[in-house]
Amino acid sequence: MFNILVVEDNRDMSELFCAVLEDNGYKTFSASNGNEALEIMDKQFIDLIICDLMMPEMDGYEFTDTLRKCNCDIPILTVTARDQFKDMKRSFELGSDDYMVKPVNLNELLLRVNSLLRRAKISAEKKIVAGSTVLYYDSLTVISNGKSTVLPQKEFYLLYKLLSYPDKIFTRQQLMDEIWGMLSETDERTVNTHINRLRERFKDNPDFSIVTIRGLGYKAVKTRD
Amino acid sequence: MIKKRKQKSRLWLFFTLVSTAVIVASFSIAGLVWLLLYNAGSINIPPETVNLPLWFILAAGALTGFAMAVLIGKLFIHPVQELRQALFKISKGDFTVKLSKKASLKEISQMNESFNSMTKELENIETLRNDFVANVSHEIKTPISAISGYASLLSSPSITEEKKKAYVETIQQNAQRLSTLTQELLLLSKLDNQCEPLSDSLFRLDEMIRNQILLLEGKWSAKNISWDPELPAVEFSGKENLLCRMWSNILDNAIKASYSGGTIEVTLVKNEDGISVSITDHGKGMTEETLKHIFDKFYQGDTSRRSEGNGLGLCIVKKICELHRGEITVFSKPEEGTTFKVTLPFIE
Repeated sequence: MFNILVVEDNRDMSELFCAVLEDNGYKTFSASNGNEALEIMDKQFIDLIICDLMMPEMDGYEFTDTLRKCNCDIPILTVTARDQFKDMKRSFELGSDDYMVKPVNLNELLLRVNSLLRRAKISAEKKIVAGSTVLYYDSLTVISNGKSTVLPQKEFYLLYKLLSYPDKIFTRQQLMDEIWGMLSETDERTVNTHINRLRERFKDNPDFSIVTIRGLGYKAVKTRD
Repeated sequence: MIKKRKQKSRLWLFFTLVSTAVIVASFSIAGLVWLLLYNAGSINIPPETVNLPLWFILAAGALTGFAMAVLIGKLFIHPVQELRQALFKISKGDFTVKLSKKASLKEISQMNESFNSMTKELENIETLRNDFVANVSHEIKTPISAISGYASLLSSPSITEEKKKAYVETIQQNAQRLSTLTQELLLLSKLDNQCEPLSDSLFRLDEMIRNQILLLEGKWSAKNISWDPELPAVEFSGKENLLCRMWSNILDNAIKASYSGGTIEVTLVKNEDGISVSITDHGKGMTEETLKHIFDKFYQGDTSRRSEGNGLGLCIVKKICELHRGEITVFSKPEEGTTFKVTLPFIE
């Protein structure tokens, strides 16, 4: 049972979100501004926060910033009427994990909430399960078919990233930026090389495969689940 | 009326006095010279008549001055007065005023002609604006009446579950349509007025296009569309999120037009003075008639797809392209497909 905190000063919106979330099996708490939200978090363990930006007393930006400065890593989904790129940029820079512009599609809201919780779980547990294969982040180990293999760092992170978001296509640039770092001088073709090595290594693995989408990038596909 | 008269005569009076004074002054100088010469003994006439020429000079001066004032006044002051009155009418919103093309001075008649073409242009803009307001009004009223209508149907006591679901879905679709419309209108307005000064940034153009394709994945994977991208690494400088929006709109159109299982080609070429991007789909295509109007506001070629868009997407694309001093061309054949080609220059 996940606890979700809805921080929104408009009562109709707040009730709407809570209703939808509760219908889908979540437990909800609501606050009408940042201060109230912090008070609730003092007493209650929260798994995810849905937060508006424009609120009295303490707005969404300040709230997000405060949480992150206290090393609180709870996923934050910002839901706001502000649709300017600069608003989104500031929100992400302060530590928000996702951003939706009102009016929101409630189904989309649920999908994103699910996704954020799953990612939080993965990063909390630091392991991924694909069929009968398990990846352990801290030890760079892949356990498959009873065999345990330790992968070289870059290969492991690459596989971990792709499997964290099964079916999502990543461009070579995106993978480079994330795994080799934005300041890296390495060529994008290094990604190709590493992918080929991974394919070679796991060619007999029945639980997943890495697919090339020509001209666009790569994605990992879970073949059993 | 009286005020205008007063102003007219003030200008006249001023001009007349000044020119008369100038002429009189120059004639007086002539008179002085005459006096000097007389005193110096160069001119021999009876002493009683010495003042006669002076009076004559003064009278001639005044007369000449006055005559010149009237003549020049007719040439210059009259057109200026006419222009002033015409401009006053324009400031009140009357664009039908026209100035006479016939004037004694070539410059004046040219000025009048320019004025007339300016008012014609203003009239056109006014017409376009009224049309736009009428269109927007219609585009907003249609979904609102659907929402309101279906909402009241929902309150009917004897309604089947099936009907309820259908009505609710219609309400949601129309709400979404309104939401998209307001976003697009706002963007158009900003592009037209350039009120937010956006800055240029340097980025990888190929990566930008790739990302836009990936963002639309839900739509194209649902139709089993595959891509044939030729995206070499190219750096470009421009207004990043406007360009993202532009690619997204064109790609979205290509996806909408494609048949299930189709392919879309995206080619990026770097030239010496700029870049060009071609996006080709092999879908429904457009008729020549449609092609003429695709960049018009609210135009939708396929009226059966009214629920999918507002007809503003390509208008926004064109404006963003123009903002970057670029060009956009379209080639299309019904049932064969469409190619959109965007060329953008490098900005030094």
